[in-house]
Amino acid sequence: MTSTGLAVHSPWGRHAAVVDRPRFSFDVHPSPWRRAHHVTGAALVITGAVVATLSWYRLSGLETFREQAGWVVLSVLAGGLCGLGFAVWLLAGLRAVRRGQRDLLRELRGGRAELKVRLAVPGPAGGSSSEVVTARGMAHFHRPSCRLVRTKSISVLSAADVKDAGLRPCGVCEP
Amino acid sequence: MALMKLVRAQWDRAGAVTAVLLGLLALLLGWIGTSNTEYVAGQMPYIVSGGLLGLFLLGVGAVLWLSADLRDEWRQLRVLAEEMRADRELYGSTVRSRDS
Repeated sequence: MTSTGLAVHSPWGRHAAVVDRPRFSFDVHPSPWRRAHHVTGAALVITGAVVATLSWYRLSGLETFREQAGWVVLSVLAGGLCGLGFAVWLLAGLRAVRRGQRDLLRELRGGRAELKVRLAVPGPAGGSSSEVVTARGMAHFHRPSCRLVRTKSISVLSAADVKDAGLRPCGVCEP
Repeated sequence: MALMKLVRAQWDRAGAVTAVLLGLLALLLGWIGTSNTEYVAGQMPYIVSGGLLGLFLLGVGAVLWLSADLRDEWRQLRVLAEEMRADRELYGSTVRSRDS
């Protein structure tokens, strides 16, 4: 993940915009693989395929198994080289996805912690007197700074919402 | 037409299925060639061309399918990040309106 306030390039075109938000690798790159991963994987697979083809060509012209044995072993090793190329390429993609998941989770947790702190700090007059919130399953409405909704996923209500939902005022924060 | 649209949208999975089918065909042809040859020295070219090529194509199929899954996960991460940003903007504006 890179810093904020930089140009973000859309993976579908050369669209760019200066935004103030965190950038993740999956925002910038259209696929989990970088050029180096493609080159490494392709080099191993192509080398393996060339060696296997050469082995097949050479052993086809030999008459006895004793003469062929070396080439058979070489072709098996070439197959292993191809498998290694595939594995390296896949693992690189898998690691990129896992890294993206970790970055996203870290950002999500950081943002949630920041939000909790900001909600816990009362507004200029202990929170706007007109703004109330509630959370799913609650029968009361609260001030945004109320400690009873501090750990909950809140939604902001208007006066009409409160009336429609039949919510009662919280006895702790007394909105 | 629907099949062509599906193949274009899911080219990697379509390639995976094709590679697996070709791999199975190569294995079958290798087996037929081997079973019709008496001498071990004569069987070796079939084992290497049919057997190894078949295994290689099966590997290609597996890799293509797994890479399609990884690309899907990559796109989902992008969607999740957008959702997170939208939520953050919403909560941020709520807190700002409270503070003002």
